[in-house]
Amino acid sequence: MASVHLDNVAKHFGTTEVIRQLDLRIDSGEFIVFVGASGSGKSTLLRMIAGLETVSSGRILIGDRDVTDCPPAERGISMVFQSYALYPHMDVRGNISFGLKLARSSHDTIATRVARAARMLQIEELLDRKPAQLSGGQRQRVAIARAIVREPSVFLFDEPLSNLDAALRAHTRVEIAELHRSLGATMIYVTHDQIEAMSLADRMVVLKDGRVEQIGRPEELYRRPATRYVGGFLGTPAMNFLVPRRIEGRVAVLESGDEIALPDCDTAQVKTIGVRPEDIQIGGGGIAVSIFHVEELGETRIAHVRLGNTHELAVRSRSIDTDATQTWIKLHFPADRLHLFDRDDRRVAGN
Amino acid sequence: MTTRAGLLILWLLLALFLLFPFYYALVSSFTPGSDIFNARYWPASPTLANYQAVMTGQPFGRNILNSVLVASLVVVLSLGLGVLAAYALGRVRFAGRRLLLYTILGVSMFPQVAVLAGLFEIVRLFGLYDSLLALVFSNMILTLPFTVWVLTAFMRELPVEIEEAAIMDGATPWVLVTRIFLPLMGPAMVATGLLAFIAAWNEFLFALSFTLSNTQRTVPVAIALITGASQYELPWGNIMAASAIVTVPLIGLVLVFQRRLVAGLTAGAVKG
Ligand SMILES: Nc1ncnc2c1ncn2[C@@H]1O[C@H](COP(=O)(O)OP(=O)(O)O)[C@@H](O)[C@H]1O
Ligand SMILES: [Mg+2]
Repeated sequence: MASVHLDNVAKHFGTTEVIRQLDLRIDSGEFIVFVGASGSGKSTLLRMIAGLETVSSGRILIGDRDVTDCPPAERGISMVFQSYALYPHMDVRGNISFGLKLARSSHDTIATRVARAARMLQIEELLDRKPAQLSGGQRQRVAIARAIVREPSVFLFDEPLSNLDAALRAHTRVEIAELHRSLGATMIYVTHDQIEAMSLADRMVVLKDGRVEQIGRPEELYRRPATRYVGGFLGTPAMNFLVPRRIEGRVAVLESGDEIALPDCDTAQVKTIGVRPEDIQIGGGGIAVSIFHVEELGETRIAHVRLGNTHELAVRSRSIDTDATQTWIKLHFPADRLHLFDRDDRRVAGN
Repeated sequence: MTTRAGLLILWLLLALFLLFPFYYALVSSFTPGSDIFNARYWPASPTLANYQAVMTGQPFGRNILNSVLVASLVVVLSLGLGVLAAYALGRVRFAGRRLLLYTILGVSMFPQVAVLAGLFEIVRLFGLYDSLLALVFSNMILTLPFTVWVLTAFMRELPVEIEEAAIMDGATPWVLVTRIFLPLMGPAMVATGLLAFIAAWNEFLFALSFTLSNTQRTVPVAIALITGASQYELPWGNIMAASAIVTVPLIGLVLVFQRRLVAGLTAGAVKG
C-alpha cells in the first residue's frame, strides 16, 4: 500500500505532446480509474507510472520515494496487461512464479505465495497448464495472479477486461472490486469503458488529449460534469446538448422559438445546455417534439425525438409507448437538472 | 476418385523427379569399378568397395570431422549473433536501423567469387590461412544475413507486452534473451540453424580457396579432389560413395528436427 504522486508529469514523443502537465495525488489504498477515449493518453500515463515509458518532465513518487529514474521492477508495482502477456512457453505455475524466481525468493516463499494467489483466483487446477490451453477468462485470472504474488504496493491495470465477452466482463469487474477490498492495495486502472470506470472507481480521472478534464468521485462527475466533454462522455444514452439562439435573462430561446427556463446563475455565459435523457419530463405543458423512434431496453425505453429541425434528443422513460413513433409529445426541462456550459465548454459558474 | 488418383500420380512423379538423382547416386556407390558405366537402376552385384576406397584413399574421416566442426561452429555463432542482432533490429529504436537492415541483406547479394579476393586478404591478415577458423569466418558471410533477417522478422512478431511483463517481473536484458526470447524463438532458430548448417556443410569455394592441406579440407572439397588411377579417369563410384556418406547426416538432421522445423516455418505459434 502506498500513495502515488504524479508531480507535474508531461510526456511527448518527438513533437507530439501526449501527456500535458498533469498533477495528481493518489491516496494509499485508493482505486483510481483513468478513463477517456482511445488515444487520450491513458496507457502512456500508466506506463509512465510503471516505468516502461520515461517521463519528459516532472516527477513520479510512490510512497515518499522518488521513482522517476527507477527501473520498473524496483518500483514495487505490478501490471496486468490488456493482452494478458502470459509467457507462452511456461505453464501457469511458471508464469506466476517467474518474478519471484528472478527476485531469488526462497522455494518456500514461492510455493506459499503461488498457492495463495491460485486459491484467491480459483485457478488451482490450472497450475500445470500452458496459456494456450486456457480460455480468455482463465488467462485473465492467471495474469492477475501473476501480479498479486509479488505483493506490490500499487497495481496497474491496462484495460484488463476488454478482451472478455460482456457477461464475463461484468462478473470479473465485481471480482476485481472484491480483490481491491481484500488486498487493500492502491490500484490504478485504465479503461475506455465509462460503465467499468464508474462501477470500480473511488475517484476517476477523465482524460482528453493528454489533459485532465475532471477528477472526482463517479457520482460527482455524473451529477456535476465540469466540462461539456465529461457530460457527454458519462452516461448512456449520452447527455443531450441544446445550443440556444440567444439568452434573455433567465430564459434560453431555441432556434425553434421554444423557451427553456434556466437556473439562477451567470446565464449570460451560457452557450450550450446539457440535459440527461432521464432528467427530461414528459407531459403537461412544455416543448412539443415529434418521436421518430422508440427503443425498448426492458427495464426502460428510450424515445428519440426531434425538436424543431435543429436538435435530436434522447428521452428515457418507462411510460413511452413503443408504438408512439410519429406522434407528438410535450417535454419539460426542469431548471435544476440542466447543465450549463460556456463558450470554452466549461461549466458555468454557480450552476 | 479420379482426382485422388490424379493427385497420387502427380505426387509420385514429383517424388521421382526429386529423389531419382539421389537414388542413382546411391546405386552407383554400391556398383563395383567400371561396371558403373552400364546404366542400371539396381546394383547387379552390390559391394562396399567404393566406400572402403574413399575411407582409405584420403583422410576422409578427418574431412568429415572438419565439416562437422565448421558447420556446427557456424550455426552456433550465426544463431548467437543473429538473436542479439534481431533484438537490436527488432526492438530497439535507433537512427539508421532500416539502413543497417538493408545493408545486412545487401551483403548476401554479392556472388561468392566477388568477395573471395577481399576475404582472402582478411584471412591472411589474421593468419588464418589453411585453418578451419578461416572457413567458419568466411561461411558466416553466407549464413548471417538470412539468419539475422529471419530472426528479426520473427522477433517483431513477438508481442512487446510479453517482454514488458518480463521487465516488470525484474528480468535483466540477459534474462530476457535467455529465458523469454530463446525459448519463444526456438522453432525459428531450429529452422534457420538447419539452413545455416546445410549452407556451411555444402560450401565449396571458400573451403577450396582457404585451405591447402589434406587434413584441413572439408568434405565438398575432399570429394572434388578424389582422383582416380590415372589423370583421365574419374572414380565415379568413389565420388558417389563419398556423397552418400555426407548426405545421409543432413537427411537425418532434417528428420530429427522435422516437427520443430514445421513449427518454425508456420510462425505465430507463440500467440497463446
Ligand atoms: N511510442 C510512441 N510513439 C509515438 N506516439 C505514441 C507512442 N505511444 C503512444 N503514442 C501516441 O500517444 C497517444 C496516446 O496513446 P495511448 O496512451 O496509447 O492512448 P490510450 O491508451 O488512451 O488509447 C496516441 O495518439 C498515440 O498515437
Ligand atoms: Mg491504451
